[in-house]
Amino acid sequence: MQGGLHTKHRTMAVPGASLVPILLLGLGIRLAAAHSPAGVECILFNEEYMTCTWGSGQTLTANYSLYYWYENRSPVAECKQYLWERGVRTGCRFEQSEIIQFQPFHVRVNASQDGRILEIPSNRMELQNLVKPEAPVNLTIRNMSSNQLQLTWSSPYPKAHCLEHVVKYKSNKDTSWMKQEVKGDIFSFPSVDYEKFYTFYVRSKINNYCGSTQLWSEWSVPVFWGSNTTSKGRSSPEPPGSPRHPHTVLTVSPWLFAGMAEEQLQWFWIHTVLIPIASCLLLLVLVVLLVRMERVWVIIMPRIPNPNKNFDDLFITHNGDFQEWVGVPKDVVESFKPNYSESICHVSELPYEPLQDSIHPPGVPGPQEHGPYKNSYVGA
Amino acid sequence: MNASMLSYILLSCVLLSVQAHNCQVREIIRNTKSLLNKTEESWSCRETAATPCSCLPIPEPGHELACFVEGTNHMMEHNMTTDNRLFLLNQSFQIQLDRNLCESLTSGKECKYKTKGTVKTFLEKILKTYQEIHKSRV
Repeated sequence: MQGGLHTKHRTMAVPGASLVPILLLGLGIRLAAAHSPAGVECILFNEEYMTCTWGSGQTLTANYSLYYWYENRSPVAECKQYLWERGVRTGCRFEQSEIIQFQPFHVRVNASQDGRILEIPSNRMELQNLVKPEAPVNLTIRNMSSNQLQLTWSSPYPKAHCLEHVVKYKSNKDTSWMKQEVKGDIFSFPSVDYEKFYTFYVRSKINNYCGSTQLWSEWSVPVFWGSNTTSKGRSSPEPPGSPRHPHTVLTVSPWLFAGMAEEQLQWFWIHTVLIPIASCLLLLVLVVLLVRMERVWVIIMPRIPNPNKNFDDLFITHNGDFQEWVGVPKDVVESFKPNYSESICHVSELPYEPLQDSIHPPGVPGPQEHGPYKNSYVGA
Repeated sequence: MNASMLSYILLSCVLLSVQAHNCQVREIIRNTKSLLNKTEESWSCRETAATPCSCLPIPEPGHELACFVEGTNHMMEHNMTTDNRLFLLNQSFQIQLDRNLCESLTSGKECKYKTKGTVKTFLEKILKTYQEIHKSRV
């Protein structure tokens, strides 16, 4: 009996003991599922500040702390400025000085409640892919020639070369919006119907050259164009003070939906047509100048000497007589003839006759003249 | 200096500008993005002990170009894709490394890396490197 009693007690204790881990497990699941955020979402607003949020105050009840670090760069730091909702931390705000792009960014959120801490890690983030630019501003419509509209705008985002845009428009007669991607900040609308009333919106995104993101900005404040005389069929309400430009009637051409960025077209023509043609023309001009500029041409193509003119005298004046042209004496010319004979030239010496007044004393011989055939001596 | 001499100087400048290469940031970004958009199945990379898929160098700062050259060479040698963009990327990296065309990239001639990655991580590293250069331009 006693053994049976113990057995009964043991049997009664087991269900109670097995309930405790089940209860604890259920509490943990409840903490994890109901009070932990689904994930941490970070967004860089116009590269001015960033917010990382993990839920809303309606679903969260625990005490959250956020820690962040950049890979291989900085120590782990805690959030300095939390975002609050209904007394619960729901996010963290980072100032511009705390944001480093193109460095892997890590975030860890700790949720603590009733002494228990649940760590919520996040994936590695690249902040340049989380940029959300501000909506474009100053939308302006200009009426260009040939019934063409030109929509321009500016962006508060500091790096215009990193942006791409989408223009959304429709008329009061259309049922759906048309969207057109634009690389620059000008949108050309080829032809408009002046009887219609158009509405234009623009939004921006970081392009692929500066990041890999799908975060579009909010739509801009709309701009309107056209005649608002017919109110039937107008789908978009007209806010007060919006610009309106009533014009004469024109028919709508099929190119209404083929608007393209005017700036992109201009650059295309400059790069592919104007520059090559200008380069070829410049090259042609330089070649012509080179040919005509004799001073330079002579250096590149020196003249072949032509001695023809130097021998004009020989052939024309002297009839090919080289010796005469050179100036050889005639007797030298004669001497080269084979039958040349030279006559003997006799040379004689005249006798010496001294003077009557003896200039010279006796016994002193006077000057003597020596000749080849006679030799006389005059003495006292 | 007369007009004809000025024309010669202008022509020299035009010819030199045609001959010169630049950092080609936008072209590299476009080609890399196109390769990344290819589905993973199109990359001929089967994980084995002998041919691991994590085989491309993820460079340390200052050695990007050398590692990009080495990585793209490896991809071409193993016929990982027949896309001509891979060849164009390889050529661009080689030229930039030889001629120091990218001032933003200190061209260490030797590839130094801490880890190796898959084709996807390697291409993403290239993309990130050149996006940073383009974004920093005025």
